[in-house]
Amino acid sequence: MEYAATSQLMTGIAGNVAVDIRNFEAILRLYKPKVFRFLLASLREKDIAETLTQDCFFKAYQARERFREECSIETWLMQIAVNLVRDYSRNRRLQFWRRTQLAAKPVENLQDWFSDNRHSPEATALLKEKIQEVWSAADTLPERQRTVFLLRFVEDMDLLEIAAVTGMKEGTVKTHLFRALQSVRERTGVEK
Amino acid sequence: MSSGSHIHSLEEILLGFRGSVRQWSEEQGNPSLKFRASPVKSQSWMRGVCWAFAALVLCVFARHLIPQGVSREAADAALLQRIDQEVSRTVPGAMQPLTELVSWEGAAR
Repeated sequence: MEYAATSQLMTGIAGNVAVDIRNFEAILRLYKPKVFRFLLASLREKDIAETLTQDCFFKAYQARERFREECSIETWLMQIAVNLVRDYSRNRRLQFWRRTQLAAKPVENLQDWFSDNRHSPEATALLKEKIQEVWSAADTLPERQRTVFLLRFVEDMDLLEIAAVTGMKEGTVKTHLFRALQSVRERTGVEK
Repeated sequence: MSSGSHIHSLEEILLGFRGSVRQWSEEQGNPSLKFRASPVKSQSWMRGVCWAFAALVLCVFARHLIPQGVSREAADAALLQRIDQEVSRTVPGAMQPLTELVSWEGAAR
């Protein structure tokens, strides 16, 4: 409930920004960080995330005249980004190179990016450890579960938004999210 | 590390996770994107023109190529005919007068 309330608040703020599809520069400025963040969190490779961000906005630019405002521009862009992640993940020709790159590069230490002044140093250290465990757990999730998990807990989208972005039914989104959370719980050892 | 006094809820961990991913993404920089200045429609229009031009060039090339082939064949045929005429004598030139003296029908008997 608390997450849903936060999500509604976020959507409302974004919804107040009137962006015209013809003003592509404004769209780029407004949504590029979000698209890049999702691609980066999904693929964990800066270069690939940058390339796919470019692809995402290029596809949107090409299809801008076909945009019928059936959904928000943000949802539309995230749909393209999700499809790009899916295509990239399923492209078997790239998998070998991806694995090679991942083997060569250490997994990003996400806990280094956490800053908090509310807790004691000891509690912060433990929280960082748990955050790193969530990050590791997310890496092992199947592609759909990972996408749903990141859209929910990084992009702060509600279930309906995720359903619109991924093209899944709300029930399917719930199932993927439930399984993803189960994996995260098992990994972190945190039940509630 | 003793975690007994510092049990974080999953919600708290996930909020920390969100903040960390966002911070990490921001630190990775803002990717600069480059787009072609020409709109999509003109690109497809230009592509059509290119194809039409290529087809035209191919037609012109084919038109010039085929008559050349025909004239070359005709010239070759004329040359072969001339050679055939020159070498088709039954008797060499120096022995030609002898053929007038000998009756082939009589010799055959």
